[in-house]
Amino acid sequence: MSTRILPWFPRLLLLAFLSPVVVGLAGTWLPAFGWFPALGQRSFSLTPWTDLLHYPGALSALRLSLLTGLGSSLLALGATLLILMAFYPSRGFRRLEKLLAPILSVPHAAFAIGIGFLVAPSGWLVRWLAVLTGWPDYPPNWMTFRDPYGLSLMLVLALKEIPFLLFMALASLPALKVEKTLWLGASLGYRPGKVWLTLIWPVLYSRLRLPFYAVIAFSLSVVDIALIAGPTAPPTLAVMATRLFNDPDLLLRLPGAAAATTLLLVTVLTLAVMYGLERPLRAISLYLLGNGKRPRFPTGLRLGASLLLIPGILFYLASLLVLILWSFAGQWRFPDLWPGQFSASTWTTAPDRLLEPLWLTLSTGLTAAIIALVLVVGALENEVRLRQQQPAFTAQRLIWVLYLPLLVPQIAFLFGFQVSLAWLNLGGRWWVLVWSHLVFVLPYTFLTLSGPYRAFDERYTWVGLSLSGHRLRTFWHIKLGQLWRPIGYTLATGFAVSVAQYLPTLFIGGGRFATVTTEAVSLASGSNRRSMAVYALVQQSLPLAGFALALGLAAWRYRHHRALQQGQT
Amino acid sequence: MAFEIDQLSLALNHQPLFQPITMQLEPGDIATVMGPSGSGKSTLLAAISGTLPPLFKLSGDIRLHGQSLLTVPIEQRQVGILFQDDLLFPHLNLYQNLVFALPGGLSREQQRERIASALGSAGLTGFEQRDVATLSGGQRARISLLRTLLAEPRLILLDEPFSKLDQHLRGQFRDWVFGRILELGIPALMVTHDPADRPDQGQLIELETAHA
Repeated sequence: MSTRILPWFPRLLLLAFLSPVVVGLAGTWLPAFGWFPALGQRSFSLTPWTDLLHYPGALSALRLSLLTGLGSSLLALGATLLILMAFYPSRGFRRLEKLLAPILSVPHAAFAIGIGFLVAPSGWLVRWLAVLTGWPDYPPNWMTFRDPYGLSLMLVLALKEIPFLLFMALASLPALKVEKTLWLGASLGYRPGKVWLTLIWPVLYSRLRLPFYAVIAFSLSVVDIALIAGPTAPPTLAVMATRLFNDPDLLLRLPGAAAATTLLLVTVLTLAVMYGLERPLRAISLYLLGNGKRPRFPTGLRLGASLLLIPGILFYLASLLVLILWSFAGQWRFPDLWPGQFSASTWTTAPDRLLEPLWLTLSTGLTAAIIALVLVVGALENEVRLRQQQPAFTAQRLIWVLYLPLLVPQIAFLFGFQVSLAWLNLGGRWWVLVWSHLVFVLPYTFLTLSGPYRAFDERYTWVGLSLSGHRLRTFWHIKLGQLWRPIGYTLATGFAVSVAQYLPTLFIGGGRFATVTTEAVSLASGSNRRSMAVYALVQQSLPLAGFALALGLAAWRYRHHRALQQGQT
Repeated sequence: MAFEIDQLSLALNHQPLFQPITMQLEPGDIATVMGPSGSGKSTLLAAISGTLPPLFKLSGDIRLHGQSLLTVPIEQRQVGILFQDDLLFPHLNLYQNLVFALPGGLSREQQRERIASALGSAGLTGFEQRDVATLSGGQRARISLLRTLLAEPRLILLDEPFSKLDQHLRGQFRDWVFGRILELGIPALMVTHDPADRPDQGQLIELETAHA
């Protein structure tokens, strides 16, 4: 690899994923303050904000967003801590670790649809209740899904975020030497609960901070899950903003921009409060550390965590199962647990409408994943070059830049990006759709690949160079040749991120692009459970197939090389 | 003169690591570099092989067959390196590991012959298709040297090549390595902690800290 082009990779990478955010934010702020020349609005004013304030349900929508967003994030963080305290490190946990990648790859929309089939009044859980107790005879008139308080939304969000936080925690925990710390604590008479809270958690949290902030920002502003699992009147503020942006009354785009900007402000404020709370919480932790007490934590720690973990896993499995059942259901009466008759007709008729969105999903996802991989590998190789020049070089302090697109609510910049594209006459192009997905695919690609890539022993490269005398050959055969597994895993991750995108596809296409995801979300507001199930399953199977293919290829490539087989490092 | 080091000194932040070194090696000579840890042994090898971070300031000259190496990039130096880890490529089998090192322009048949005869010289005939992970430590060490030699280097650097081997393998492997180097007539420079590693007639360079 010619080293002269390397410095361009990180620049291109930053430009690719930051410019839509920056341009998009500005393009949303201007209409929020009354400047929208396309609609003849050319005077700065606060009218969009007052319009928003007077828009029916706006304040309740904001309250709902805060409640569900913060509630689910804190719930997810607490559950993560509890699960780690109870089970890490243990053999069962190592088994759980292997489950995390497929669980993480479940797209939001598919997961929300599946949970809906479980907890709705005529859902599987009530059916089980009816079959086991003989009551109720009819689907009850409960609001167990899409309830006005947003409880079902909170449940879906928390369930979706726990695996992500666990995954991020597991990436950091080996460096924290948990087992030794617990041992040391025990030798001083402390039980694991106190050691976790005072010695391990504070350090772990500082490494989980950015992922946790991303979870908060996501939960506060998510649209697809909120459309499927959230209340309708009023919806969350993010859903309300999306509706305003797509309203036939074009002038409602201005209060829409104000709503989107409000979400940005709320997110920034929430994160600032979270950051501000760290100090006092740390002080409490330090006080606990120093007070010398050796409390007997309730022995029910494992029990409590199990009560959380087992239903959580069951929810994932049952939602998948019930999706499969509905997709093959003929007639399925309440309260029967199984469909009265099975039929493949939904599957056999689906391809007519499914093939085109499926093709767009595949082509967009693969293109985005491959472009992201090339840019990230180039940037990481540039890092290797810089470290060779200056051994103390580290790019770790730039990590928050990577998180930027994940910390800014999508809705707060996608509208502005859409407007800017229309202004540049670039609306509705396929490559712009790929670009908009890259905004999110790139950071995840970098986060996934950087660890294994940086861990590569550069002496292999030196040996390769001195043996072959050839840079590109050494890079390709010796370095990349050993990195098939992380590269495949990274491609699958990038693809999964692209498949799950709802809002970018909606905004960039202006309704012209239909992916499996946008179709699934729009079906979810209807009542055809069979089609919903088919679309959700197709959406869910895409990332899974990606991971299976990536891991299978690596396993096949290294089938004769014991040192690189799974389980060895 | 095959290999010369002329008044070479390395400095980090204007602090020289050791007193300037001058030495000359004829083909087949094996020189030994010794010195306490931190005296700059590895840095010296990095300077010769071409992996020296620019942080270090180098003065003096390193010449191979009369040509200065200082401006030659690593891949064109034809300097073979043997680390204490064998660094066999884990994703290639034994044959692929060795064929990667062979110079270009050989026919398939020539490649096969060279590798077969190299394996024969190491007592590993018929090992071509083996996964390198299934070899013993001593076998891996021998393959690693074979790989270095097949690239036809003009100089060999040995970075504590015996330190990770068991005591009983050590002497045997050492004699074999020195024998091969002498046979091929390549100058070699070895860094070691163990005085027993030093070949009988070889030159000895003891690195002294410059400010001692």
